[in-house]
Amino acid sequence: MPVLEIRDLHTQVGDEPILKGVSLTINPGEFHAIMGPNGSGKSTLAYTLMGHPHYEVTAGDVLVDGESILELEPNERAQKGVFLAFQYPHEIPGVGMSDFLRTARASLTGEEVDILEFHDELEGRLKQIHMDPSFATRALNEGFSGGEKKKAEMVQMAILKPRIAILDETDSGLDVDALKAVAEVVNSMRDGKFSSLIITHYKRILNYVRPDFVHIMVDGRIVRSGGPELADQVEELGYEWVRAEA
Amino acid sequence: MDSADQMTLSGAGLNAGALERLLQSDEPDWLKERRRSAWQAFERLPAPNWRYLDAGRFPLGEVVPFVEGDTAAALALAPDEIRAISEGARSAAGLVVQADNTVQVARLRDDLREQGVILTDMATAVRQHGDLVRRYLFAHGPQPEEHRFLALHAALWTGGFFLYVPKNVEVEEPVYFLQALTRPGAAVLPHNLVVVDQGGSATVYEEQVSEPLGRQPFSGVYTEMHLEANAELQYFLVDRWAHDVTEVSRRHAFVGRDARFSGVTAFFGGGLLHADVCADLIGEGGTSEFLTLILTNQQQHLDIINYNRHVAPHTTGEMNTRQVLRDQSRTTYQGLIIIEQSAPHSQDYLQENALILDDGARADAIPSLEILNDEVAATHGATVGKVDETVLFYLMSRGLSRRTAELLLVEGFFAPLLERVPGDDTRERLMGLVSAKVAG
Repeated sequence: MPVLEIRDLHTQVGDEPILKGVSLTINPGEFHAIMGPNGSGKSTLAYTLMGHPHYEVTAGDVLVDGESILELEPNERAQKGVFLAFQYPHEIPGVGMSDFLRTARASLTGEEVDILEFHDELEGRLKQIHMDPSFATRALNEGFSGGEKKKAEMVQMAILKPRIAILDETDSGLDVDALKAVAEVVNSMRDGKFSSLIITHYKRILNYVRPDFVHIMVDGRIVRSGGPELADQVEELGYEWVRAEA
Repeated sequence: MDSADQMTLSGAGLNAGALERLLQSDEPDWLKERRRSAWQAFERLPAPNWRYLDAGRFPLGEVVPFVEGDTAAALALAPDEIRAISEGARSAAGLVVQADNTVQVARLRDDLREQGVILTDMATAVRQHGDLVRRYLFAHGPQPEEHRFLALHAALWTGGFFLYVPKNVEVEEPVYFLQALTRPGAAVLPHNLVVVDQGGSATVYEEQVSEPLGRQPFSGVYTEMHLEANAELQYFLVDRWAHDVTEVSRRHAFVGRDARFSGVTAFFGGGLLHADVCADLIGEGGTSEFLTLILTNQQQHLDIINYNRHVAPHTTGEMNTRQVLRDQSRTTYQGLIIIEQSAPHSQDYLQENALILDDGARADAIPSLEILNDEVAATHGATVGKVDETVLFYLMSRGLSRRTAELLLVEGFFAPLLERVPGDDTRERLMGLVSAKVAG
C-alpha cells in the first residue's frame, strides 16, 4: 500500500485556486522530487499535506496508508508519520530545541523519552550535520542563521523519525557544505521504508539525494513525471521547455 | 445550616456595625482613634475612578467580616512546602497561616527570636509591640484619609502578620504567610506589616488560596513593607484565589537609603481584582525591582496598577510584566514610573508584554511616565499580541496537540521573566502553576 497518495487535489487560499488537480503516489522507501518554477504551487502542496490552516482543500483527497488525513489536525498527521521541513522555520523564543523535541517525540510515540539516551541521540545528529552541541539548549531557531534553521529542520526530522518527510526547498540558501550535510542526514534515513518528497527549484540537491521519481509542477498541476533524468532536462532546458510542451 | 453559615448571615456587611465591634475590643486607644478617623473618611470619600474597573462592583454590603476560618482546610489548599513547614518537616524562618479571620499558626525559628526578630499576628503585635507598629503603620505612602478603599481597610483591618528584622540581622530562609478563604461570603482585610531595620535582610513569601465557595468572598489585604537604610527585602506573592473571590488589595514597599527591594508577584486567581503593587523610593540610592506575571482565563477581570515612585535622588527602579490571557478574561495592567522633582539622577525601566490566546480575551497594557525632574532616565515599552496561528501550526506539525503547543508558547513567553525569579524552588513552582492553568 502507498504510504502517501494524493488524488486530484484542489486547494485555494481565500478565493484564489492554487492547486488544480494534483495526483501523486508514493510507496514506502521511494524518494520523489517535485520541481517547478516560483508560484507553481509546490509550497502550497507541502503546507496542504501538513494541514496548514490557511489552505482550504476544495476537491480531491490525501491518503496515508489508505486513510484520508484531510480531516486530521497537523499533530494527528504527524502521528501518522508525516513530517514537513519548513522553508521558513519559525523562531520559538524561550523553548529549547532539546526540550521541544523531547516533548514532540513523547507526543508522537506516547511513551516516556529517556533523557540521557535522547541527549546522546540529539548530539549525534547535531554533529552529523556540523552543528555545535550547544544548539540543543538554545531556543529553537531563535537567532539561527538561515542555513542553521534549515539544518535544524533536518535534525528534527532525524529525531522524530517520520515515515514520509516533505522537504520544502530545504536546499535553498545553503552553501555546498551545508547541502552535503543535509543530504547525508536524508540519506541516512533510507531504510527501505522511509520515503521523501523533495520540493526544489534546482537540481543541485538531487545530485546528493538521488530521487526515484521526478515530477514537474507548473501552475498547480504536475505536468510531467519521469526518472532522475527529468531533472537533468530541466537543468538544461529550463521550465519554459515543459511549459511549452504542456 | 452549620454554625459558620449562621454567623455569616447575622453579621453581613462592611459597615458601621463592623467598626463598632472593633471599637469595643481591647485594642489600644491610638488604634481605635485611627479606625474612627479612617471610617469617617470612608463615608466621606467618593468611589475611586479606576478607569478600567467599576469600583461599585465589589459586594461590600453582603460580605461578612470577622468570620472564623478553618485552618486545616487552609493548609489542605497550601502548596506542599508550606504544609511541610507547618508539620515541621521542612525548615523556614517562620510561618503564619490565616484562614478567613483566624490567624492560628505563627512560628518563628528560635535562633531568630533570640536575635530579636519578631514574627506574630498583628492583633498580638499592636498589644506587645505597640510602639513599633504605631511608628510604621501607614507611615508613608497614600493615606487612608485620601482613598476610599484604603480608608475602609484602615478602619476595619483585622488579622495579618507583623515581621520585624532588627539591625544587621540577616534572615536567610523565607517567612511564609498563607492566606486562605474557607467560608462562603467571608470578608477578610489582613494588614501585614514588614519592617526590615538598617542593614537587615529578609525574604517574605505570601500566598493566597481558596476553593470555590458559592457566595463571593472579599479580600482587602494590605502588605506594607518598610526597608530602612541598607536593608534588603525579597518579596513574593502568589495569588491563587478561586474565581468567586473579589479583591481590592495593596502591596507597598517603602525603600530607604541604599536599600534594595525586589518583588515577584504572580496573579493567577480572583474573579474581580484590583491590586496596587507599588514602591516608594524614599531614601537616596535605593532600588526597587518588580517582576509581575499574570495568567487569566474564563471570566476573570484583573485590574493591576504597578508603580515605582522616586522621591529621593539616585534611586533606581525596574518593572517587568508579562501577562497571558485565555477565554473571555480581561486584564488591565497600568505600569507607572513617577519621578518627583526631589529625585534627580534617578532611573527606571518599564516593560509590559501581553499574549492573548483566545479571541474573547482582552488585555490592555498601559505604560505611563510622570517625570518632574529633567536629570533622570526613564524608558518604557509595551506590546499586546495574539498568538500566531502559523507558529502554532509549526509546533503542531511536530506532533504537539494545540494545548501542548500553546503551553510551550506560553512557557516561552514567560521564560525571560521566570529566568530572573530568584530561587529554584519558587521558579519551578511558578512554572508548574503556569502549566497547570494553561493545560486546565
